[in-house]
Amino acid sequence: MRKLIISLLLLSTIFRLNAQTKDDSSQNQSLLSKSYSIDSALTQLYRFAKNNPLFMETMMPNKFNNLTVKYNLDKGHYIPVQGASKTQGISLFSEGKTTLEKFHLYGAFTYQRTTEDSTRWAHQTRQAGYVPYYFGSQKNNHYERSIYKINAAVSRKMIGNNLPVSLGLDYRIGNHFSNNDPRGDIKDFQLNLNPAVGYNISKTILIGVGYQYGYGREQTKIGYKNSTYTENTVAPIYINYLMTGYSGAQQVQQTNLLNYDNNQDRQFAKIFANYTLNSNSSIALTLKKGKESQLFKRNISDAVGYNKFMTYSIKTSSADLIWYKNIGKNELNVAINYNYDEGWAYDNALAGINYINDIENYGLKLNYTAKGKDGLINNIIFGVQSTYDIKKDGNYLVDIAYRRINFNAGWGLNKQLGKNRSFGADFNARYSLKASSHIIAPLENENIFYNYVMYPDYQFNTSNNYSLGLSADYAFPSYKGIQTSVKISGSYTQRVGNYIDLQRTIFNTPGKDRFSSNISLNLYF
Amino acid sequence: MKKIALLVIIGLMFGCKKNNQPDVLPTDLNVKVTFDLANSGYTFPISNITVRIKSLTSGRFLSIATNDKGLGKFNNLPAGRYDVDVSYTVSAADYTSITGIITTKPVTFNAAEKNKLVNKDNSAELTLNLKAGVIGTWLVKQVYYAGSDRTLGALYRDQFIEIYNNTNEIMYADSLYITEIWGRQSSTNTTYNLQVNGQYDWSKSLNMSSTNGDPNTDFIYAKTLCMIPGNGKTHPVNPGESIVLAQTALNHKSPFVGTDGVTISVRSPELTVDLSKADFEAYYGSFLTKPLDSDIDNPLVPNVEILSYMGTDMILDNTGRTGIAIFKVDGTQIVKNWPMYNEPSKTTPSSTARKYYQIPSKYIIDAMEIQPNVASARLPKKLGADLDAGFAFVPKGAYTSQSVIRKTEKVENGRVILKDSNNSTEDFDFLDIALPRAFK
Repeated sequence: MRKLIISLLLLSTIFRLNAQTKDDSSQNQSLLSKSYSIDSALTQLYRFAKNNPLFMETMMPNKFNNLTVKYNLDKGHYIPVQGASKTQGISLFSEGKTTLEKFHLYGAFTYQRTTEDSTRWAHQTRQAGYVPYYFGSQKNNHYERSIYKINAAVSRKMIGNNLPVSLGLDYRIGNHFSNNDPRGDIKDFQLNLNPAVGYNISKTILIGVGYQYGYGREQTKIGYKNSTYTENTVAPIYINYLMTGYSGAQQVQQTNLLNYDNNQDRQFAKIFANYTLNSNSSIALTLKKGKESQLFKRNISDAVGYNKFMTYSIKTSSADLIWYKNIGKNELNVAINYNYDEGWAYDNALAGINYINDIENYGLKLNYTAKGKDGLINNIIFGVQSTYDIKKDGNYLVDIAYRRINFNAGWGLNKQLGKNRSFGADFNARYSLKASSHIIAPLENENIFYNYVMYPDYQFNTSNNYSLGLSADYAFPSYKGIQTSVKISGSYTQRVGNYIDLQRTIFNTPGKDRFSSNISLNLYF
Repeated sequence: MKKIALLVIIGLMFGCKKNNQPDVLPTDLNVKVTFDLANSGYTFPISNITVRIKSLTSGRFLSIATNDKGLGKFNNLPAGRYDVDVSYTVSAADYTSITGIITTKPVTFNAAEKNKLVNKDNSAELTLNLKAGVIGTWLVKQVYYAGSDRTLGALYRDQFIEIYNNTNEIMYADSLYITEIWGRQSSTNTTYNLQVNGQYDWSKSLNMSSTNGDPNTDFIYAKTLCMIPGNGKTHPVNPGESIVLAQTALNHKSPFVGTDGVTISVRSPELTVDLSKADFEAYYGSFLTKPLDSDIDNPLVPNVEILSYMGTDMILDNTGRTGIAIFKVDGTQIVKNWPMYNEPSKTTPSSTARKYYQIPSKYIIDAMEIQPNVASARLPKKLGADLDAGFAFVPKGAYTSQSVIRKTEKVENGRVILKDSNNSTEDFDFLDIALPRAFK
């Protein structure tokens, strides 16, 4: 009930924000907002500014507001072991940007409700990537997740427009539970604050610094409705394991030990720069460096006196550069990203750093939007992204790494029809290939985690695949000229070639394909 | 352009990839084997003694033989928790030759370190001191503590303990004491004084006396204590035969009427046992105003004398946090007058807090420890290596109809001789369905 009240308050806040846009030109504004949503080059800038509110004024349109209700369905067994073979979700998303005197304001609210079938080997929030401390079992769980997110940001320029300052706030609460044994019950919240300040050192160059502080907590509990599963091991699929690092799997079934907290805090420093090349072109750069720390703990000690089990630290270095150029009525947007996460876990029981997970991502994305005279807009997208993932478990001498390269290209069009109606369609294709890989996992240390998780995940992560996607969008004016659109999307991903034969016993070998679809109702103000 | 170059340089500074390595690596475990022969004047060879370890994470076994210095080294073990066991048997001839003590049976020495943490900060040499235990004449042969399925079976009503005459002579069970041992039952309870090994530090019990020995090593403590009745010749047990002590001596496969008048029956009789032919039963109805409804007194089966009890019947801990010891005393001892002590709580126990009989280890004929089947649920050992260097468990856990049963060592002239090395890890196996008087 409390969450519902909070949600309604937030929605009303956003609508109040939106209401300020309801002037005589509301219909034109709706059309403008809608057109913005189909301009892939400008959308890239918009997303960049959401992450870096210091750029709100220059990269966000002043009155872009939308509300989206979406249903999605994903199905298929071409997934990592700890994924869900079938996911259904409904989400409500609303956001708005406006100005209040000299303040630029942005607000967003998201509610997601997701149900997952066949989630196994991981009672986790799915908020982050692989964490080296969690419970899991062979049994497929039916998971239900409810997530609420609030994003708010404000910025304004001071001292003769030479000193822009901004503050961003992100808050999230989540509730995750499975309704079959072993049933997980996970609650999480996250709060992040992002103050930033910039300075125009010349008419063309803005530099700035920012700081992010965040903290959060995930509380995990495992329970059994059928107490027999905690009393004996007659049914192996119900045995609860504690996974540590990327090899350890130990049976834990005592009810008072089936819980832990993951307390998180993070601090990042940011540097911003914006270089205006000319009135039609600019480059923006953000650099981010900092560290997140996750402490896995329980308030009672176990048999050996531990109540702090592991500290997982992730040092992040990232750089994002975006170049925007306006070519007549057309727009070109080139984005380069780089991210490097160094993760290491100190295991109290092992008295040292046992787990290493380094992930490097970099890529290039190009968006070109061509606007024709006849109301026809063409969007061309091209991207290439490289991911390198290294996992090491020192205690078991496990060393696994793979590099993947994804190529994607897309073409979309949007045609303005009469009576403020429009129709759009997109086609995109992606090919993902494994560039390199290796696995070292001495057989003499093999345990159930290897057969059920490590090996099949290695097969999945080293397989090539292609994906094809289509979407269609029809928009029309509705109440008070609000642009309303219905969008349907679908994509199909299929493995190419066979999985690597590891010459080991493997359960849970991934399947061959996956289908994803969604339908959404979008309102633009 | 210089400004752009500056930004690029700053960017490169941010992204400097490293080749990170874990600092936890497989580690070595060095085990030194010695004999506990203080002031004896003789010694045994310490080479070629087998040291066995079991990983509590993977369940993997490894073994190695000691060198001439009594050292055994396990290389490149994944850090974690291990059970380390040494069991060494000296033939009767060698034992007699070395010690001058005439014996006709082999003598087995045991030592163990259970739940041993092996990691890079804990790599000091582990010394295991081999102790010769008492070779039982009476042996705990089978313990059916798990009970049977909650809904299909008999729950815990069908539990029993079987005691075996492992000698070649008739022995009398009269005045044989049977006790379920007691110690730390919770791995997370921090309200008690503990020894370094995590077990209760009984020396800190209220009013504990140390004049007769070390409260932690020279005694065990009883959750329940009962005695076989008789005048000394009432209950003869032939060589190779056993006596069965039932919680309730009834055929649990068939319906029966409880003390509350309600019929008690099982849906799957094959999951439980017929204890109507048990030799003794633990009947609490004679002294409890409200015994367990299923605690029916079978008039055909004699009752044991109850000296100490917990609960409303002789319900063994079916998760496996238990153990059984048997002992006899001479005429100088009056067991019911032996001292009783509170658990060694950090705060002063109330005057009504439960007390436990303190049983001198020197009287114990045989003892065996039981632990939960899941390694992470195990507790610090209650028995020292002189009584039981290891422990037994049923692999499936509670309510599974399984029992632990002592292994057959050999058969002589039709008489089964059971294995007794004072290490239950080695001496015990399990039955999928408990069966009184069975062998394995």
